[in-house]
This record gives sequence, C-alpha cells and structure tokens, in this order.
Amino acid sequence: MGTAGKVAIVGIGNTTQGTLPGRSPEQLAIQSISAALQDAQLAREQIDGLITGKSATGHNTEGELAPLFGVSPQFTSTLDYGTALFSLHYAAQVILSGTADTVCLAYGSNSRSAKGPRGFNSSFSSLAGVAGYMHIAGPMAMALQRYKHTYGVTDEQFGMIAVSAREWAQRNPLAIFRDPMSLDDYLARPYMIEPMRREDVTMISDGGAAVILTSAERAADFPTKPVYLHAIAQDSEMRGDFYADDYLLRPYLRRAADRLWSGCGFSRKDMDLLYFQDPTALTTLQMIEAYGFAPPGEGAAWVAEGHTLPGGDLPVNTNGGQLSEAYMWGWLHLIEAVRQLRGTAGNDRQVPGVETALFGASHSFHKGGAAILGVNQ
Amino acid sequence: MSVHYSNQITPDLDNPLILPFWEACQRHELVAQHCPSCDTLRFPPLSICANCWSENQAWTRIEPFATLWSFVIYRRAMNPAFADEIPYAIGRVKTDAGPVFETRLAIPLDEIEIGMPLVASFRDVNADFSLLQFEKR
Repeated sequence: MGTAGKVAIVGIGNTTQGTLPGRSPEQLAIQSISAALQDAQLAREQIDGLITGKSATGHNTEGELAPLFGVSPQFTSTLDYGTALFSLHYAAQVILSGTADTVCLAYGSNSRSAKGPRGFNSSFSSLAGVAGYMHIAGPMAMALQRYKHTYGVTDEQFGMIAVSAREWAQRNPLAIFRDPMSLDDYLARPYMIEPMRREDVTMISDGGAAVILTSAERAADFPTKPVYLHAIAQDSEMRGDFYADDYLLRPYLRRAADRLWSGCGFSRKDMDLLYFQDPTALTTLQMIEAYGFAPPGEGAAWVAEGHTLPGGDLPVNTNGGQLSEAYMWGWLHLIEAVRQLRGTAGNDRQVPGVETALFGASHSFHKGGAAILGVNQ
Repeated sequence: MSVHYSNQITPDLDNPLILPFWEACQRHELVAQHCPSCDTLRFPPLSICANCWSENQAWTRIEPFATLWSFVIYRRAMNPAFADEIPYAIGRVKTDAGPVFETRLAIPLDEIEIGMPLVASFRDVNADFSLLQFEKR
C-alpha cells in the first residue's frame, strides 16, 4: 500500500523497561500515552482515535484502557496481537479512510511480573507439547538448524546479530541488557535450545509505549519533526503449518518485501537504518534477507562484516532490539526509528544524516510486514 | 523440583479432536487425519477440512517412513517436567505420505543429521500414553 507520505508520526512515549511489579498493562499504557501527548504538545481531548495493542497476557483491550484514558474518542479499537508494526498499519488505514484524524496507539505489558505465557506449545494438548517442543525458541532453533545446514552458516557469523544488538544497547540507557558482550563471550555461552543460545532470544519484560499519528497536512502544526509513513505491506501464512514444508523459513516475508518495494519510490539503497522486531536473532536474519539487504544464505556473513554495528554503513536495531533492549513487541524499535529520524537519539547513538528507515516485523510464524518511514514528505 | 517424564506427562485425553491419534499411538500405529471427501491428509487435526470444508473427518493409518527436515537439542528444560530428559532432541519430520510431525528423536544426539531416513516408533510412557518418536531407518 502506498501511504505516500500522507500519514505522519508526531508523538512518541514510553515507560522504563524491565521488571515493573504492581502496575497493570493499562497503567503502563497510560504512562506512555501521557509521555506521547507531552511530546506532541497535545491534550487527550484532541485524540479522536485510540487503538490499543492487546498485550502478551491478553490485556490492554479498549474496554480495559479507555476508562483510564478518561475521554471517549470517536473511534476506538483493539488489535489482537498488538505489535507495533501491525498497529502502525492499522492507524494509517484509519487516518487514510477518514475514520479519525489523530490516532493514538498504546501498548502495555506486565508479562514479566505477571508470569504470563512463555510462548506457544507450552501445554500438553499437542504432540509437540508432550514431546517437550516448547517455547518460541524451539521452532526458531529448528528453522536456524535447517538454515545453517542449507547454507553452511557458522555460529561465528550468526552470533554477530546478538553481538551487534548488544553493542547498540550499551549506548541506550533504556536497555535492560547493557553488559558488554564480545563474539568470544557469545561463543562461550552454552546452547539453550541448540543451535540457539540464550543470547539469541529475547527476555520477557514489562513496559509500555505509545505513538501518535495524524494526517500529513495536520502534522505540520505539531512541534515535533514529522516522520512520514511512505509505504506499508504485509503477507501471511495464517492458515498454519499444514501446507508448506518451509513454513518455519517464512517465505511470505519475501512476498511482503516484493509488495513493499514495488512502486513505493524507494529502493534498498535509500534505507539509512533498519529495524527488525527480533524475538530471536533468526527473525532479524530472515528479514535482512527477505527485504533484500543480503542474498539468501548470506545474511549472517553480511552482518559479520560489521555493517549493522555502531559506525557501520547500515545500522540495524540501534535501540538494541528485543535481544538486548526490551521485549516490547517492536514498539521500541518504532520509537527509536522516530528518534533517529528526528535526530534526537542522543550523542551516544545518533546516526548522522539519516532520512529513511525500514521497520519490519512479524507475528510468530504466521504473518509479516514492513513500513518505510522518512522525514522527507 | 523435577518431575519425571514417564509418570507425569500425559496428553489431554479429553480433547475428542485428537483422541484418535493418541489411541493409535497406544496401538503403535502412525495415523493422520484424512478427509474422505477430498482425500487430504493432515496433522495436527482440524475440526473441518480446510481444503474442501467437509465436516466429516476421519483418521487413517499411514506408512511410518519419513525424512528428517531439521532438529533441535533441548539443553535446558523449558518446562520442569522435562528436566530429567535433558538433553533431548526434537525433529521436524516429513513423512513419505506427506504430513509433518514434530516430536522426539530416539537417536544418539551425535548421529542426528538433516535428511536422514527415519521410521516411526512408540515409547510406552504409562498405561494411558505412548509417545510417537522417530528413529533411524
């Protein structure tokens, strides 16, 4: 879909991240909304669309959040599996259709403190469950093993994805994991679900995030530098794991990429920054290849060349990603992209002269998509 | 606290959708859901056929032969019920008949290779439950 710069992000806000006991997902969402309203210099009465992202524990629905929001926008809705990328797409559709003009997206999760679900296949109702094939890292490691076998990729190459994320996280005060981690450190860590290490997998955490969008015409009235939404695309294998032998390799990501690049007016060379929602390092790798930044099988070697690191020519996840910053379903990737594009990420990690970023994400093995964001309308 | 696999892990036998599969495992038979209307084979089962929407679904025995698509080795127990089993291997197994199963590999860990031919076998866990696994063919 060519959103063609007709929609812009004008406000961002988030809470601290980590273990935040005693606060509900909705409280964390409200704190984030408050910060985003302040960022955009808006009053909540000026929000006419509220989209809540249903959290990892099944909360933060519109019915739960709206009473705390305290005013009643003309449009409210909840996105099931409320990750940042799909919520962003939804907001664009709401604004472009004229359903609402100024939309606030809000997410909050207390899944660490609430000891919520730890990924799928954790029950004994399936063969996979009784066999002990548990946690999202299980199928991710399964896909990685196949990938390594197909292309001859080494741990030294694959490990650089987690190392790169940690390098960035050390420059981000919001990040939970900021201890230095060299490639040797990484290689010395044991496998958790071989061939995946703990460092290749996100850690459940608590926190909140909010993003305010409006039409490009109205964006000029805001005090913040607008970040425009240039293009969006999605594709899926929602019907599940019955048909494609390569289901775990997520071939639909490439279909989404083809749709994204087709006619959007941008090429890969125009991208200054990449953001990939990363429940594991494998999802970063799959999206680097699917969106065409390295040929199939060469993504890990490309990362190992150093492109994605601080000082590299195409930084990836300058927030530290979900591997090292926080498990926020891509929300902090989006917020970091906005900070970088505004030029307000701070001396430690601001990448100079950035104008355009790609944000890719996926919903487990089911669906994926991306957005192109930029400061030039 | 560790819970020993053999006396604690039992599938949800109250779910009629997949019960015929567990019953077949007890008979040491490999089965898949079969649509009599359009001849589709699948696993895990669905309440209707997603291909032709027939509501009349059955189960059929399939050949136990398969090929290993990929595998992982659990080095850490992600559920305490499996603590005594660590390390153990899970394979994504493509049967010659078509359906894919993700379950235990009863193969020494250092002998597992992608693409290896496999055959189904069954581990009698307790009186109510036998686990489908795959071993070297």
